[in-house]
Amino acid sequence: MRKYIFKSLLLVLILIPGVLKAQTTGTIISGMVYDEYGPMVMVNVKEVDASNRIVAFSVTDINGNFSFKLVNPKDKIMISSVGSKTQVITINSTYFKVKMINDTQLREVVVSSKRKLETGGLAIPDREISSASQLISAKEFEGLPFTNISDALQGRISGLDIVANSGNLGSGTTMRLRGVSSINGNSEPLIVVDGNVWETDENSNFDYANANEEKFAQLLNVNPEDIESISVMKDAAATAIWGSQGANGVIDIKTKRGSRGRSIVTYSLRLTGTSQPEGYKMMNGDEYTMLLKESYFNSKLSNDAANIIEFNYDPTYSEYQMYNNNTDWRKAVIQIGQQTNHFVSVSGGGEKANFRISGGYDTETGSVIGQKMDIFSTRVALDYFVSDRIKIVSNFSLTHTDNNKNYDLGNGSSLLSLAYKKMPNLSIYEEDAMGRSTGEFYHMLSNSSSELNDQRGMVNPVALAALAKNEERSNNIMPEFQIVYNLLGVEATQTQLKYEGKVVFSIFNKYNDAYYPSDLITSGWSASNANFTSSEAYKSLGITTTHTLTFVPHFKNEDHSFMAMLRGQTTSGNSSTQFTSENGLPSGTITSPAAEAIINGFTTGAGQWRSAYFTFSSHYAYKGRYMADFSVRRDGSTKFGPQQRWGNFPAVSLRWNISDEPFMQNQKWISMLSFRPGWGKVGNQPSSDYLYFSKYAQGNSYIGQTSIYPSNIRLSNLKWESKETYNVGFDFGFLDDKITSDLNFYTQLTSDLLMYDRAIPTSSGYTGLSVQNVGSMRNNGWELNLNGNGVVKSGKFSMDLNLSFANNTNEIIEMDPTVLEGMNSPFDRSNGSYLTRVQLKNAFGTIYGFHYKGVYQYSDYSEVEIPGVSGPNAPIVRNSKGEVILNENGRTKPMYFCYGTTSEYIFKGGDAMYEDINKDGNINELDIVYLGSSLPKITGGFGFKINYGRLTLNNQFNFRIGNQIINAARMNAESMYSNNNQSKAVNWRWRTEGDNTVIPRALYNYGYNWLGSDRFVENGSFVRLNYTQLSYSLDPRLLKSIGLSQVRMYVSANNLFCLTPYSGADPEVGYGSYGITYDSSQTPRAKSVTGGITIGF
Amino acid sequence: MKKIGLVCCIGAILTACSDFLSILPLNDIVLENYWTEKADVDNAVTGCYEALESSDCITRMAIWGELRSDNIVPGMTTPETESQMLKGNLLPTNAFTKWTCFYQVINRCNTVMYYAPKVQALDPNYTVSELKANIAEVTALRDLCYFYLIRTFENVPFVTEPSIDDNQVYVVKASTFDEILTTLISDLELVKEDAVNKYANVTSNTGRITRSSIYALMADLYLWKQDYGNSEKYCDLVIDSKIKAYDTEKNNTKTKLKLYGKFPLVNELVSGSYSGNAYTEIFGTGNSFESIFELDFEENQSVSNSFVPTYYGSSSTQIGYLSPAEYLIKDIVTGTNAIFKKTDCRYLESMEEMNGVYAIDKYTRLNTSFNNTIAGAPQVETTKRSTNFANWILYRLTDVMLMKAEAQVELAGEITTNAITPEQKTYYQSAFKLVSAVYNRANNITIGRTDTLVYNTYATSRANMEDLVLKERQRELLFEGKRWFDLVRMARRDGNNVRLINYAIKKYTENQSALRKKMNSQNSLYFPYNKDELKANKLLIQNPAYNTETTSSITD
Repeated sequence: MRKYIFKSLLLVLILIPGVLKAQTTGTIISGMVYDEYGPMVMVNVKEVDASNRIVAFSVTDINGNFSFKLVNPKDKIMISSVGSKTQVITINSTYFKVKMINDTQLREVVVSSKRKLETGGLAIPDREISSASQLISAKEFEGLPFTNISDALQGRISGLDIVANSGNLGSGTTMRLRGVSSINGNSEPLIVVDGNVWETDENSNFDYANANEEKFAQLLNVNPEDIESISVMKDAAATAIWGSQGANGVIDIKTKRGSRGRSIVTYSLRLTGTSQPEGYKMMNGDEYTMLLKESYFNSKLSNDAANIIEFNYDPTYSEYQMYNNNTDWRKAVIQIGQQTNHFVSVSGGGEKANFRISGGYDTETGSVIGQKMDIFSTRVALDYFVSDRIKIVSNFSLTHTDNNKNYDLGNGSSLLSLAYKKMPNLSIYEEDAMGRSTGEFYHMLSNSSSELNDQRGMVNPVALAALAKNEERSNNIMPEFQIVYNLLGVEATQTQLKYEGKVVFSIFNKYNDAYYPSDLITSGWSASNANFTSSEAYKSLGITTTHTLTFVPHFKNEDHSFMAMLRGQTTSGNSSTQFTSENGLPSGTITSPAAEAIINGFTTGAGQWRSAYFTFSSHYAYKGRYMADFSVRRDGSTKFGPQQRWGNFPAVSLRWNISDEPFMQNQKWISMLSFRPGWGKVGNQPSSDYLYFSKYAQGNSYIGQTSIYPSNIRLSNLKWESKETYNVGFDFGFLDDKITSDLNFYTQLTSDLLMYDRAIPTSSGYTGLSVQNVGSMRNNGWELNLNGNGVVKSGKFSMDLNLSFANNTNEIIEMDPTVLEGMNSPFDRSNGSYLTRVQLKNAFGTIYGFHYKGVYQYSDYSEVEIPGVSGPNAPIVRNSKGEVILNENGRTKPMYFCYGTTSEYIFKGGDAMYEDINKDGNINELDIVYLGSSLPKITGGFGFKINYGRLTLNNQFNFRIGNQIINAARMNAESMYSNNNQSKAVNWRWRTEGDNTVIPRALYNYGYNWLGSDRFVENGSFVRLNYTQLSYSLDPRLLKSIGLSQVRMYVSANNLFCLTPYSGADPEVGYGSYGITYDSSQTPRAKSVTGGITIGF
Repeated sequence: MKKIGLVCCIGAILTACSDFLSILPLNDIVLENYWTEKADVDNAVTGCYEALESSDCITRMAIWGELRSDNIVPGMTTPETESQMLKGNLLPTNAFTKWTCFYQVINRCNTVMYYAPKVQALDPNYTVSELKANIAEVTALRDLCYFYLIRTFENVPFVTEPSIDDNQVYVVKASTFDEILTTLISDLELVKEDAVNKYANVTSNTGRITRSSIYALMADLYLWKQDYGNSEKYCDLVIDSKIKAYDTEKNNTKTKLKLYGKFPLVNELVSGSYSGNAYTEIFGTGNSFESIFELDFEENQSVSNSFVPTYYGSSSTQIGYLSPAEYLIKDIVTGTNAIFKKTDCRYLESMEEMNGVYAIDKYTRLNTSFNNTIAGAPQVETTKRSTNFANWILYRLTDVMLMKAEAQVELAGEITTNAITPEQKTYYQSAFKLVSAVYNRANNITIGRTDTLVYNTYATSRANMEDLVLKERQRELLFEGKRWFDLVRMARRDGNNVRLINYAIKKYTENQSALRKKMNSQNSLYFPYNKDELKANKLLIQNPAYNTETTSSITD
C-alpha cells in the first residue's frame, strides 16, 4: 500500500533541475519548500541515513528557504510538516524546490487497517483470533464516575463475575472468571497493564481467599481515564502465554498513548455525591429496652435477671440521662460522601516522538463518617523514533494514595456494623442532669452492669471516627524502559524480525499509621490499647526484564500468513517491612511511635522472589479463513524444588471463518460466522516460597542456651496445580457486523489442586503440610455476548445494545477422603452456624441447615386450641403422618434439641420450630438438609446506549440469578440472643401463649432460636442499574470559534436501583470460604450521582 | 550478527536460570546449612526442652495427670473444655485430647538422634562421648513424652524417625501400651550410662536430663510395667546419689537440709519458729536439692509458665480455672479431715480458702512461712507470684522415695492367712520408713504438736500399706500432675476399676451412679483420640469407650 503512495509522491515531487555535480561531505545543501498556498514556514528538513537516523537538520524560514551542511552524500533528505505528507528525496543536487501535498488528500487511500488485538504477544487481526477473549474499549464508559475499572467491567464481560466487597473507600472487589477453580488458592484473575504484571511481594501468609485489598491497590494504580482498552482473556489458549500467572484468566489493560498530530489538552472534572442505601430499620431505644427486659426474663424466668439498671429508666440512676435516649446509631455514622475528580492530559506527537502526559487528582469522602481518600496519579508515555528501525519507549506512572480509614478494630467489625449493634437507648454524647448534650462523647462506664459487658466493649462509633486514626499511604511507581529494533524489514511487504527489550521497575511503598486514644476506653490507662499507636512501613522493589523476538515472514503467496514470537522474562524482587507499636503514650496530642512509651510490638520482615519464563507463540492463517495458533510457555518458579521447578503449559486453538467461505458469499446478511475449538493447559503455583526447604527456626532459649528447631516438613513432592481448558467458541456477525456475538462453551479441569494447611497426623510432630496437591475439580459453563452497534438508526437517532450471560457449574471430581473430612466440620450444636460440606460430585458453595417452620404457638398441647392456654401447634413429637405420639401414660412427648448431649434442650412455646425430618422427636444433625448454593446460576449484564445527535444516554445493568446468601446480618438483627440492637421486625416476636407469628421469642443467651436454617438463607438474585448517564457534546464548529476542540457535559448515577428479593441492604456479597456467601452487614455499595465536564483545548 | 548475539544471550539466560531460581530463605536457616558443628546439636537439643516447656505441654502434663482425679474441681471462670472434662464428659472434640505438642518434642528428639551422629563425623570438636550424652538426653526426653502419651491414651503411634520430607508415610497405626513401654525401657537401658552426671551449670543439673533423671524415669516405667524389682533398683540409684550429694554438700546449703532417717530432705523448719521453708525452696525458688528433673523458667527469658497463673492462680487472679476438691481442705482445723492432719504443712502450702472458695496454692506462691509460736491456727505469711516463672517439677526425691515404697509393698506381696513373713516385714518396714520420712518432714506446723505415723496401723495388710503409700503420694504430690496416673496405675494392677472409682467419685456431689457406670470399663481410664487426628489418620481406632457420642456424654 505504502509503496503506491511512495510512487505517487515521487510523481508529484518537483525536482529543480540544477547543475548536476558530485556532492561530497560538507557541501551546503539548500532549497525552498512551498505548497499550493505559497512558501511554507517551520518545515522540518532532515538528512537521514539508511536506517532513517537523522544526521543533519534544518527548518525552513519565513520564505520557505532552508540550508544545511551535507554529512554523507549517500543519505536522503526527508521533508516533513504537520498536515502534509512527508517527502523523501535522494541527494542528486545542491538545491531543491519541494512542493508539499496536503496530507488530507491522501488519507482515504491510507486508512484500511484491520482491527488487531494484541494479546500480550502477537498482534493478531480481530477476525483471526481463535481463543476466547473479549475486548472493551474505554470509549464505552468514558466519563463514568469509576474510581477503578472493575466497576466498569461489571456485567460487561461474560463469565467474569465481579462482586464489590463493600462500600468502604479503598475496599476491593472479588473477581471470578469462569467460576472458582481452586480450593483455597488464589482465584483472582491476573491484571496486566501495558504488558506488565504488578510485581510485589506475594507474601507467604497472604490469604487469597479473603483478601482483595492488594489487588485493589493494583487497580487503583491505573486511572480509568488513562485506559484505552481492556481485553479479558478467558480460556487457556488465550492465557497460556501468561503461564501460571494467568491461570485464573487475564485482564489486560492498555493505556492511552500519544499520537502524531497537534497537541491535545483535555481537562475533565467530576463531582459526585454518594449515599448509603438503607438496610434494616433498627429498633429505637424504647423498643430495645422492652425487648431486652423480656429477653433476660425469658431465659431465666426471673424478674431479678431482667432488673438491669441501664434499662430501667430510673431517674435516680446517676447515668439515667445517658440511657433514656432513642439514638439512631446508623444515621449517626452515615453521611453524604463527596468525590471530586480532576484529570488533565496532554498528548501529541511529531516527527520523532509521541507523548502523552496525564495527571489525576481525586479526593473522596466516604458515605460512612471518618473516611477520606486522596489519590494522585500521573502517567507519562513517550515514544521516541530514533529511526524507522529503532524505537525507544518509556513509560512512567506514579500513584499516591492517602487513605484515612476508620480505625480497624479487628474481628471484621466496621463502624456500620457497630452502629447496627449498639444499644439505641444510649446517647452519643454525655448529657447533663437536664438531658442536655455536653458535646463530650459518652462511653459506657466500667462499672456498668456486667450483663452489658459486650456493649461496653463496643466503642462509641461516632467517637471512634472522630478520635482514632488509621491512615494508609502508598506510593506506587512504575518506570519502564523499552527498546524496539526492527532487524529485518520495516514494511508490511517485507519479512520482519523485531527485537524488543524491556525493563520495568515496580516500586511500592506503603505506610500505615494508626492511633487509638485512651479517650475511647473507660477501663483505664493500664489497658494495652490506651493511647495505642502503631506504625508500619512496607517497601518492595521488583525488576522485570523481558526480551521478545517477533518474526513475521512475508510469503509470496499472500494466502498464507504466519507470525511467531519468542519471549524470555526474568523477575526478581525483594521487600521489607517494619512494624512498631506502643501503648500508653503520654498525651493524646502525641501520636507517633517515636515518642517514649511502652513498646508493645516490634517486628521486621524481609522477602525475596524470583521467577523466569520462556514463551513461544505462533499464529498461522490461510486465506484469512483457517487459523491455527500454538503456544507453549515454560515457567520456572522458586516455589518448587529443583525436581518440580519448571512447568510447561501448551495451548492449541483453531478457527474457521465459515462466513468467508465461497459458499457463504451470497449470504450477505451474515458477516461473520466462525467456529473456534481450543485446548490449553495452565498452571498455578503455591503462594509461598521456600516450601521445598526443611527450615530451622529459632525458638525460645532454655537455661541460657539458644534453641533451634525444624519448623516444617519440606515439600519435595509438591507439583504445579494444573488447569486444562477445552473451549468451543462461535463468533457471529450480522448485517455487516452491526450485530456481533460470541458464544463459548468450556470445560475446565483443575487437577493437583493445591490445598493449604493440609492436615496430617500430628504424630509426625506437625499439624500439617503447608501445601499439598489433593484432587481435582471441574468447571463447566457457557458464555454469551451480544453487541448491537447502531442497531436502530434513523436520522439523528441511533441505539447500541450489549448483553452478556454466563453460567458456570462446579464439581469436585476427586479428592483424598481425609482432605474432605478435614474440611467438613461436625455440627457444633450452636446457634447461627451452617454446615460446610465439601463432597465429591458436588459443587462448592452449598449450604446445609435446618428447615425453619415458624414458631410454636403454645407450650402445651391440646387437640383443639384453647385460646391463650394451649393448642395443636406445640412442641410435641409427631409421627410421619403428623399424628401425635403418646407415651405409656398417654402423655405427649416433648420435642428435644440434641437429646442426650450437653446441648440438650426442650422446646417451648414461642421457640423456633424446625422440621423434624426423620420424625425421631429430636432436632439434631440428622435433620440437617440441603438449603441451596451460593453459586449463581446465571451472571451477566446488559446495557443500551441511545444517541440523538450529540446527546447520549448510556445505561448498564448487571445481574446475578439463582444464588443463595446466608443473611448473617439479618440473623444477628433478629436473633434476640444478645444485647445487640435488633431490627424492627422483632416487634412481631412471640410474647405470650397463643401468639401466632413467625418471629420466635426473645431469649437472652439461651435456647436454639437461630440455628442455621433456611430462615436466614435468602435468594440473592438481583438486577442492578449499574450506571446511567446522560451526556451532551457541544457542536465542534461552535467550539472552534472560541478555541476549544471538545466540550462534553454529563450527569450520571450509579447504583440507582437494584431489583432483588433479598431483604438485606445489598445482595452483592463476596464469596467466603469454600464458596459460601455470608452477608455480615458489610458497608453496602453506595448510591452515587455525578456531574462532570470534559474540555478539550 | 545481532541475531546470533541475541540467540547467545537467550542461551546464556537458559543456563543461568537454575541458579537464578535457587533462593534461600532470608529469615530461616535451612537443613542444607545446618548440622555441621557441635553448636548446631546443642541448639537443637535445647529446642527439645523448649518444646517440652511450651504451655501446651505443661498444661497437658497437669491436666492429663490431675484433672480426672479426686483432687480437682472447677474454679473460677472455668472454660467449657475444662469444665466438661471435670463433669466427666470427655469427648473426642475436647481440645485436651490433642497431643501435637508432645509429638513435636518427639520429632525434635528424633531429628537430633538422626543428625547428631553425622555431625560427629564432620566436627572433630564434637567427641563421641558428647554425642552419646546428647543421644541419651534426647532419648530420655522422647521417652518421657511417650510415657505421658501412653498413660493418657494407652495405645499411640510410635514414631522414631524424624519427619523431614513429604515423601515419608505419616499415617501410622497405634502401638500398644505394653509394646511401647517395653521399648521405652530397653531404649533407656542402652543409653542410661551415657548421660551427663553433672553439668557445669548448676541449674542444668535439675533443669536438664541427668543420669539421675533417667533413673527416676526408668523407676517410674518399671513401676508401670509392674517390674517392682527393677523399679526398686532404679529408685535406689536415685536415692543413693542424693545421699552421696548430701555428704559432699557444702555447709551453707546443708543447713537447709535435714536427714529424715537416712534420707536428706529440705527442712521445713530451718530456724526458730517459722515453718514453710521446704515449699519456698522446692516450689518457690525452684531447682532445690530435692529436685531431680524440672522444667526451668527464668525471669529474664521471654518464655513463661502460663499454666500456673491461668489454672491455679496468681496475685491478680487469686483463683484460677481449677480449685481443690472440698474434702481435701475441709475440717482440717477440727482434726476430722481424712487426708491431712492439722500439723501437716502441706495443706497450708497447697491450698487455701478464700471467702468460701478454695484456691490451689502449689506453685502459685513465691514463698510461705507459718508462725508456729501462735497457739491454734498458724499464721500464714505468703507472697503470691505476680510473674509467670514457676518451674514445673517432673521428678523430685520424695516422688522417687514413694515410688520405691510402692514397689516394695508390691514386692512384699499379699499377706497370706498366716502371719507376715520376715521378708515381707523387711519390705514393709523399709517402705514405711520411706513414707515416714516424707510425712515427718511436713508434720511440724507447731512445736510440740508434731504428728507421726504408726507402723503397726498399716503393716497389717497389703491393702493398708498400699493405701498408706497412695495417701502419702496424694499429700506430697498434690496438684503436681501425678494423682490420676497413680490411680490408673493402681487400677491396672488391680485389673479392675473398683478402687479407682471409689477414689475418683469422691469429688462429685451429683450424677455419681452414671459416672460410676461410665468409668467401669478399663478403656474409660484413657482419653479418646482427638476427632481431627482420627480424620487425618485412618489407621487409628478410637478407644471403644468413646465410640459414639451418646455413650460418652451424660446429661447434666
